[in-house]
Amino acid sequence: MSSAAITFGTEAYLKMLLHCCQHPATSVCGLLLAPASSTDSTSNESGVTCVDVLPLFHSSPLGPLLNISFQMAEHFASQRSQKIAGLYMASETLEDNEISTVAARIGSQMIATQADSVVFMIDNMKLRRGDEIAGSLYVQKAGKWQRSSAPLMMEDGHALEIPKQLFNQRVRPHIVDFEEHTERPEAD
Amino acid sequence: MSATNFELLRARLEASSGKDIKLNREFLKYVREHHIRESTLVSIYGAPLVDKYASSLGDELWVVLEQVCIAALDSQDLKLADMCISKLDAKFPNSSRVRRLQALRMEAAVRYDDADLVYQRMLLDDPTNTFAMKRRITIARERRDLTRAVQLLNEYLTVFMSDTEAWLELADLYIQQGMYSNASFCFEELLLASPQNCHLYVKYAELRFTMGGVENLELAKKYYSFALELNPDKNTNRAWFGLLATTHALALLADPSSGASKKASSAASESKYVAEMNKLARTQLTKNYENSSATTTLKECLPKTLSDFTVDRMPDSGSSSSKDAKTR
Repeated sequence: MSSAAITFGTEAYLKMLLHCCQHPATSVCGLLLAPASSTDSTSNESGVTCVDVLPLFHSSPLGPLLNISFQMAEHFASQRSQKIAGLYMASETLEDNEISTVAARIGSQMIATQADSVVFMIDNMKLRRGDEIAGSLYVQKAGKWQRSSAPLMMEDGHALEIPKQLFNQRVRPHIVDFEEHTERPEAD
Repeated sequence: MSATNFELLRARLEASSGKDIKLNREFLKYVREHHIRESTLVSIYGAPLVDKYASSLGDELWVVLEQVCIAALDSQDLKLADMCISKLDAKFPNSSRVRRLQALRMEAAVRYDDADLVYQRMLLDDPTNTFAMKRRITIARERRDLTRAVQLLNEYLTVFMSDTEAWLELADLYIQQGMYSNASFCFEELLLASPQNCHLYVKYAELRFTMGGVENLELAKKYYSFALELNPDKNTNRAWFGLLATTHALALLADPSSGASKKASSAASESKYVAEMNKLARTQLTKNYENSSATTTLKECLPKTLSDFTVDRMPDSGSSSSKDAKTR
């Protein structure tokens, strides 16, 4: 579908960044959730609003858990009247911020079920600087993943200040992702 | 156990806001002895120790300086790192240990070529310098030159083949590149070295599942079962989920309408106890979730997820088994 902008809710954006910060030495990935009511092909200029994220893994995601976590995520999302809008991923290295092969593969599988799925690759360099939204959106055109030139927005323009403050205060994140959840079910 | 001790120590530390110097010292010592990677904390609470209170540390100062330096580099506090290095250099001029820190400092400043040169020189002096070897591998990895990282790591492993961490890292590098059979080989080495480590079996099973095909799914099924036998008590959900997914995948393959080749289909349908294992996995997962304090939303999601992966009976498997579920 045509390039869609993405608007991040504050909490969603923060959770995503904190998930990355909690596991600085590995790649992390998770799912983007949007309200179920937002339509796809007839959507207007505001595009996708990401209201929450579901952190999944902090190591290379492999087969079985990926399948299971996706299914669970779908049920979880629909229970809260949300849907899975896409994937977010952060590489383990500082400078590698293009869409990774793993992300592209997972994204393509997601497109099969939902045509307007997007992939948001977190840009670790921008994360350090903290001035702008730390990543790039990728959409699939003609079978290939391309960076979308559509604007990325925050729901609350001042929200970008929050990560800076958190980093300055060296707040210890505790975000539980699916991988950790399989070890301790009480973690959510 | 050590995890809880660590948490307690950390809580005391945070409560004291770093003003209790003895506590800071104790914390750093604990981290050193247990090889924990908590660089932010070590930097924050170590900084006053090496600066204002340096004289009170006695001979421990040098070890602490080295520890804080490395933590500072890990958390990108280059000023603190530089301070540590200059103090160490003043006390131990021409020390190879200090030179290691200086090379790490170059890495932290993204001066990889310079750092790599230093390591190569170290290796000329001493070809068994494992620190230098490992850093070169890390530099290659950081530069996303995975081929080179794999090559260097393989060279390292020809000499130091009992280094389990290295095998794990090599497996991860292969997985990142989708070279699953190479990764399998690494896991096999790991399993030979630590046959009691159930986490390894689970990871290996996941790898085999990802490789796909009936044989690999069969292996995955066996390894998941073995992992569960080894450790039937706690934290087993990952293995149960894996078993669930594997049995489901086998059933899918066995289904002639799924588009799999006839050979695969018939091989899959001969897989034993698939339906029983599937049921066992579902029962156990339900039990584990109910007994845990997982949130209600998740507990509600579980049955739906489980039903997505249910296998009541294998397609074309002939008589449906009325035996009790077994894991063997």
